[in-house]
Amino acid sequence: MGGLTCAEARDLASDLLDGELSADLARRVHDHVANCPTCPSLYRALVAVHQELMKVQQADEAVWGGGVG
Amino acid sequence: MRLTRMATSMLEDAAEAEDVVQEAALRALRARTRFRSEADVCTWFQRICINSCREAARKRSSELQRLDAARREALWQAPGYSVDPEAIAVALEDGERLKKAIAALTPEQRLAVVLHDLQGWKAREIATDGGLPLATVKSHLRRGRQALVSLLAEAG
Repeated sequence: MGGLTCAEARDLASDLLDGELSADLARRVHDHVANCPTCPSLYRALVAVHQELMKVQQADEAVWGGGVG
Repeated sequence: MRLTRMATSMLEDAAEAEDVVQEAALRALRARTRFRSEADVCTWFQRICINSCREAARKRSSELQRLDAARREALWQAPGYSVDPEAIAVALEDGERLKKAIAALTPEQRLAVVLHDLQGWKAREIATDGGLPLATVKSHLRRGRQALVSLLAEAG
């Protein structure tokens, strides 16, 4: 199977963050990122934004609890 | 109130969010005879609020916002596109910049990002709730996250 294009790897990175890729696809994304001149910075930025959103979610749950209201 | 906070994240306008939650409360009162007692009343009311936010955001979304979204989407398709991760890290230290970036997403992207990444919903739950295909929700989430990166990079 051939390597991923930048656009494919960038799209799949979102699913990778959610742990929704097969092991094979995850490896192909990582392979692309490791060998691409432009995708590593985009991937790092996506991870940073995702982590920040998760932090906000956890802080919100800590303050307001799991329920609605 | 947590629902008002959620609505504010979706609409990025505290006053409009309060109006929408109040309107949702009136809708819930009018629709109370349709409430099934086996369902969770909090979840039921949350759904009404989300639908009200969705309608309010759709009314407000502009053609310019859609053009911006299309431009950012094209950037992510270009092999030469990149950003400075250090600049993104600095931008993320200011919570207001992240809020502004979320506000600049299209209504569909904002709904997916807020419900999934800020409220902890599963993509499948968002799809079921909105009557959308799962692939569509995942696409909105993916484009929304990519747009947040671009918006934070642009704002630097």
